[in-house]
Parts: sequence; C-alpha cells; structure tokens
Amino acid sequence: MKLILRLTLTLMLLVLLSCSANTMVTTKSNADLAGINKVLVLNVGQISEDIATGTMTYARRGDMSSYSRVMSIIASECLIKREIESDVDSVSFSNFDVKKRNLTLYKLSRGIVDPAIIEDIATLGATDGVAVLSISVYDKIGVQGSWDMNSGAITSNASNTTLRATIIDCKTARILWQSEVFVRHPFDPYNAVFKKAANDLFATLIPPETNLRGKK
Amino acid sequence: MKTTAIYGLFLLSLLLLAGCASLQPPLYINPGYNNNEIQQITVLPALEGRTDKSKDVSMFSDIAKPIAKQMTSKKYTVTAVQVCPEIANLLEVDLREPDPEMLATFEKYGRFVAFPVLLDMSSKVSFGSSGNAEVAMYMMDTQNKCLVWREKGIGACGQGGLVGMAMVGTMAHSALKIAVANTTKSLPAKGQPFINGVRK
Repeated sequence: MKLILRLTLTLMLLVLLSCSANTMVTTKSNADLAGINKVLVLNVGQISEDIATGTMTYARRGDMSSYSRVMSIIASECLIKREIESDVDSVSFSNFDVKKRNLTLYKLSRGIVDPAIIEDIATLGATDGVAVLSISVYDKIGVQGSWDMNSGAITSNASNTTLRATIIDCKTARILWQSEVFVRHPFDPYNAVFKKAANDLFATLIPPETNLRGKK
Repeated sequence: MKTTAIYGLFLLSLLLLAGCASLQPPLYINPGYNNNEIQQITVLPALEGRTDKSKDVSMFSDIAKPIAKQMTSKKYTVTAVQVCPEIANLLEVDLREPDPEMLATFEKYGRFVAFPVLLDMSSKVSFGSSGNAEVAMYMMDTQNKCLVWREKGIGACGQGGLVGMAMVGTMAHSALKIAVANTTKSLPAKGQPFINGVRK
C-alpha cells in the first residue's frame, strides 16, 4: 500500500515538473560595453510561424506593444546599472515594409548585420560610444497535444518562443553582448513565464558586482 | 461467415481508399518546374536551426542520409554530402527567399541542391512521454538561382502510462525519423508531374 502511495506521489511530482514550461537561457557573449555611453533600444521585431505550414506572419499583435515596453524598460534598468544612458528609438527602419522591418530586426537580434544596413546603423551612431540594442520575439505555433484513449498514444504541443537580444556597436558593427531565452510555451505576454523570460534575457547585462537590489 | 465477409469487404474498401489517396501538394512549388528536368540532386548535411540543442543528432546520418535514400527510392539520382562548410552561417529565413549570390556559392554541388534544416527536436515526460521534431526542406536550382520546392516534415509521437515514461529516451529520435520521412512525402517519383497548388 505504502509503495503504491510512493509511486503515485513520484508520478504526480514528475507530471508537475513536466507541466512547467521548459526555459533555456543562453548568453552568447559577455557584455563588453567599455567605451559605450549610450544605447539606442530599437523596436522589438516579431515573427510568428505556424509550425505545420511554415507560414510566417510579421504583423504586430495588439498585446505585443506592452511586452515590448516591458522589455525596453528592463534593458534600460540594466544599462543604468552600468552607468550607460539608454533611449528608445522607434523611428529606425520605419521606412521598410512590415516584413522587411521585422526580418531586419530579427537578424540584428541574432547578431547578423547585413551589409545593406551597416550604413543605417552607422548613421544612428554619428558620435562615438553609441550602440544599438535589437530585441526580437520569434514564436512558433504548433497544434495542441492529443491523447488516443484506445492506443494510449499521446502527443504534446510543440509551440515555443525564442527571445533574442544583441547590442551592436554603431561605428564598427561589432557585437558587444548577446543573449537568448528559449521557452517551450506558446507566446503569451501575460504569462508569468514570459515575465521571467524577459528578466532572464537581460540578466547578464547587470554588472556581476551588483547585488539584487541594484547596489554596488 | 457473413460477419467475416463484411469485415473482409470493409478492409478491402479501406485498402482501395488508401491506394487512391493522392499526393498532397508541397508547401511551395516553383510553377516553372517539371521534375523531368531534375537529373541529379545533391543533399547537403542538415543546417542547425534549433535553439534548444540539448538532443544529440547527426546532421548527416540522421537527416541527410535518410532523405537521400527516400529520394533514391523515388528514382532520382542522389548524392548526400557529408561536410559542407558553406552552410555554417546560413539561417532558415535566408533559404525562403534565396539571394542569387548566396546560391552561387553552392553551384559546385550541382544544379539541384537540397537543404534540409533541423528546426526542433525534443521529448517531454508527462503521464507518459512524447517527442516532437521539425525538419524543413528546401530544394534550390543553383543554375537559375531560385527555390524549386519547399516542404516541412513534422514528427510527433508518444505513449501514455508508465511504459511510455520509460520510453522517454527514444521519443525525440522516433519523432525525428517521422519528421524526416515526411519531408519527401510530397515529392513525386521521377517522371511524374509536380503537384501544383498551395497546401492550406
């Protein structure tokens, strides 16, 4: 009897653990922000992809603007701790169509600076010590999980979201810092998992000697 | 006796229906193509398109080689390449609308080059275990510098209960096998016409 109880408890624990969204944080390069005194936070690029058909949509969802703002605020707070001024730049690439703008911002957030936009980036940093921060949200929407009561076969939802951020020096187009958070959960800006993910994305921007309350 | 006959007829009709099932159109097909033009296909090792790289996988043996085998069974002459340094900096989005300059770097692999991309591979434990995998496939014409055919293979499998939980280690690879098999499903055998149209 006790054994059955233990087995049930273990099973419940495993199920509870698996129900939590699987999050993975990768810091691709440590912050090397020496000589940078201002960071321009670009608009957040968003791409949604239907997993089954590979169809991409670039239109901004209504609930995305508040999440973008939250990410920009977190990034600014982290930069302030490094005594770096930040400013929101909402006009860059606004002359591009929606698809091109979101793809450009997505590529920048992956640290890929196309030769065609090097000049645009350089124009943003007319003076020395200016960098741009590019953030993107790439969410993939899959079909819901299933359970076949006859065979016992199950499938799980394959939806996932990747948040990416990169700081690029405007003058040299060099990557100064890069981070990535992968969440096995459909994108939902109001979900606590994504609030944590936004904090995790910029966690390595905070100088290591700063404690949680922001005091050195 | 009567029940057996009805059951037999039912099975026969099911088999006939399955046989009549037509090939589904791919996600993209260049309207100017006819697959009689395709003499030789070179399959490159799969591009790494995953963010979660926790599962070990061989881009050649687990993806490119089985795809080449499936294409060979459809009567194409196929070569699978084990190493291709040119794919190192490619992203999946670059393949959707390929840049002619980028395609020129792949000319040495032949006219028709297939680019498999591993997009996801995972397993999960719940009241059992399940696996998911996603492989995209792009076939390019390096001579005319354009995308010829695009398809995506999705693999999902799983088993409930304690037995399923014990199988978690194999789920991701099982899902990958299904996904890889699905990437060439819409490719007609050599000599048969491509099915035009867009799959919804």
